[in-house]
Amino acid sequence: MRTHTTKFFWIALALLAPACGGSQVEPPGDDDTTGDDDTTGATDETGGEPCVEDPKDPVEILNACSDATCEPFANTKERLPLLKDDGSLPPLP
Amino acid sequence: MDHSSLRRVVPLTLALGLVFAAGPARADGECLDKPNPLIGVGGSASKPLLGKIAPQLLALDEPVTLIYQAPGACFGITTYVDGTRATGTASYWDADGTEQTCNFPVTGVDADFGMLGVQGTLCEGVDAIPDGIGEWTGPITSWSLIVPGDSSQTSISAEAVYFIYGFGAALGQVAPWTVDAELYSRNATSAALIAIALAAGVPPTKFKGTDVGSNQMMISSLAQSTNPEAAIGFVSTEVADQNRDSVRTLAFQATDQTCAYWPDTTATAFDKQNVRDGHYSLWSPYRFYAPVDGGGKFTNPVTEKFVGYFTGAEPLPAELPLLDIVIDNGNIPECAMQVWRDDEIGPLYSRQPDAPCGCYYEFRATGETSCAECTDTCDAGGTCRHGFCEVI
Repeated sequence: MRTHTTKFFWIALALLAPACGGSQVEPPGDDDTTGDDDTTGATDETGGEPCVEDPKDPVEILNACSDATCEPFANTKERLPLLKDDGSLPPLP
Repeated sequence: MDHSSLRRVVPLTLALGLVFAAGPARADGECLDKPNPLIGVGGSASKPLLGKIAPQLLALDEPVTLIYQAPGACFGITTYVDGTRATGTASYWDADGTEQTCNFPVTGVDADFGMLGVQGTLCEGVDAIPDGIGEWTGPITSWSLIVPGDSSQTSISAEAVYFIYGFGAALGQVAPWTVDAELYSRNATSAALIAIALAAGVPPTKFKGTDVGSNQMMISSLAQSTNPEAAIGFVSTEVADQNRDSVRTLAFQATDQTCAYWPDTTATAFDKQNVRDGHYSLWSPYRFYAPVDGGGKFTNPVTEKFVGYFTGAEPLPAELPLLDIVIDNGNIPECAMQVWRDDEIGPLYSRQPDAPCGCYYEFRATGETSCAECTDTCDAGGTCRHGFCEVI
């Protein structure tokens, strides 16, 4: 369900944060070290977002490294005031 | 319900006649009097593509008049489920591609094919594709959330769409899209709505906003908005592309995605790279539906040829450069896709087409490609297809 996937999104971001840079997570600094999985410190060429160099699963495909321009949309309470405190989506009215 | 029994549902037909009576009031004659009429019903997103194919069909040795009525994508399947026949007026195109209108009989006609941009079973009231109806996939269309050209907005997320269209603009509180009067939408028969609703996790029947009726009306509604910063809507990307002078596609960030992407590598490109490689997730293959016999064979040989041109089952006549037409219209042939999915707006997986055409697609769509040109063979490896060396 949406709530679960959104939770997964924030968990995934938290896991990605130590290795990846971008405006939605902590920048990686100069270290572009590749970990054991396919999620690397690589960033795309224009957006500075974390990306996956050898995508295998559906989420990795969405976040694969690319030369395309991208623009992060911040799913934060500032931008989406109705988000629940844990970042999940409330039920529809 | 078998197909022959559907032909008897006249009262419902008459009741829905006004619904189907899309298009100008003045029509040029009877549709069934046109040479070899092939009648389709479905969504308005398909019209630009069909309008480019129609003149080529008229130029065949045995000319076919493509006639299409666009009351909404889901009518492309519900006509075979509830027996609603097509009445009122429909579009056809003359030899130079000019759209004309003609009249259906007052008792209605059965559609030879339905065409929609999502799986028919996602339409309300369609639990399964009826017996006696076949399903085939066609080229890919992508879907665009759009804003007026004067808007400063450039991106949106699935979560933002959830609030905007699930709660309504004012209640959703996603600035600057907080004005209900500027929230443009469709009804639940729209393939664009169904696809975007799936991506946002909103039931299609709960999508908020003003139903503008068609892709073309969506464009004009946004273009004429008096509050462009607050205005938002959605159409098929090929329609958005053809109206870039008045609307802009927003980059879309799917659930679990860390950045929003346009269908193309940039907001101004036309390469559909992000659709083809999975960065832009709002896409679906067109579906064709048509009556078949017990053996799964088309009951109408003209429909069989028409659908077969798209599926590859029918050799393309010289007069019908379908690959070029599809690309030029802003759609994507399946052979240019590097990802695929088995469920509508479902999980993506990598897939190499049997006979890839990505190099030719890039060249045709953008005028350039990094692929090597070829005539018959590729010295550096790969296979020469459509004049370019593809990987296989």
